[in-house]
Amino acid sequence: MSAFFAAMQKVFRRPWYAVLALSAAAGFLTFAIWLPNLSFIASTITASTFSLPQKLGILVSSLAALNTNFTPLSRTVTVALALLIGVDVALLTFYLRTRFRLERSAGMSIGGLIAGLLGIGCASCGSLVVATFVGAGATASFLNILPLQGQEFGFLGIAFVLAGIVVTARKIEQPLACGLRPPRRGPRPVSRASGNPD
Amino acid sequence: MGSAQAPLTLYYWHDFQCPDCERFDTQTLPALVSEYVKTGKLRIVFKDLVIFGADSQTAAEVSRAVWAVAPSKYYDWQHTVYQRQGSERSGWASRANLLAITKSVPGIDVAKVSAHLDRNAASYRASADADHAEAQRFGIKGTPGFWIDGQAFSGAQPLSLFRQILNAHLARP
Repeated sequence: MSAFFAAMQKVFRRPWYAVLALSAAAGFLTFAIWLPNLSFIASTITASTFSLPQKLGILVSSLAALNTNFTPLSRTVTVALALLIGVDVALLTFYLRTRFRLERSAGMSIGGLIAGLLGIGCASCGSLVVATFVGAGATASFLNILPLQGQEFGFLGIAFVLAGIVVTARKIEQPLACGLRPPRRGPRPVSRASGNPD
Repeated sequence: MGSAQAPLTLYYWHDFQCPDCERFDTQTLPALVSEYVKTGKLRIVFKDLVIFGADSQTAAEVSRAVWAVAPSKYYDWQHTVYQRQGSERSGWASRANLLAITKSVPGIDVAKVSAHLDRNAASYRASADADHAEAQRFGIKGTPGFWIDGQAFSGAQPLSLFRQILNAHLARP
């Protein structure tokens, strides 16, 4: 738990990551509000009969649907999910940027880095990336297509994103090296100087 | 509802058992009526999109009978029904209960509404089915659903959005 808070402190003491988290949260929230009416949003943006201020007025005022088109429960779930996704995106960006810089200096190719992160080379990093994006993806798609306005899956999405945040925070606090296993009891290593103990 | 000469027409698909329709009808529609319909800028055409089963179908048929008997009282009747809306599929929208609600709206002869229902049930059903088909044709995916001058959208949208859309359309040369 202390590693989690240390990672949060490490990331969010940089204002850029706080801005990134808020932007990602706002982006997700906007998408969630617009999701039932994407064709209307698209037709408003492309309409030749509306002026730019009129288009902006329609798009901005449509965001007030968060108050009128959501039940208190679905509003709470959606806002919580947006905030968590913002935190998740900021942590993941911090982690990827740190890792990218270190491993590029070691001569790793970008392709190798991505492959490693996707789990081909490194199971723990792979689970991190996949779990993070499954959380966001599940949130975005299931909320739209499932009955009961996807509120059950909103909670599931929160769980996924929370898990992603915890795993990312842990990875941020872990050194980029394989941990040593505690020594096993049994035969001791062979000493070159003394030869085989048998 | 509203003047036939109004420059704009808002088509509004609804289901009497839909909670989002209740929110729109009680929170947003009264302001639209006073700001745009009563000033002659907007006409609203009510259409049914039955999605909550048999009782919603019954409500759609009763609404047609009310319209046939007392068109000037229709909006008051619809508003009263939404104010007394119960839970979805809980049985509150039965014919007997809807007629009891109708009785509470001044100026509507319930006996005539009931007689119209008996006489025209088949044509009212066909009319509601036609509304449903029309909704699909115009890209309405749920209730409350709206169509105005080529644009379709749905959900209990805020009054501010309707104002922006209507003012943008009204400002066009």
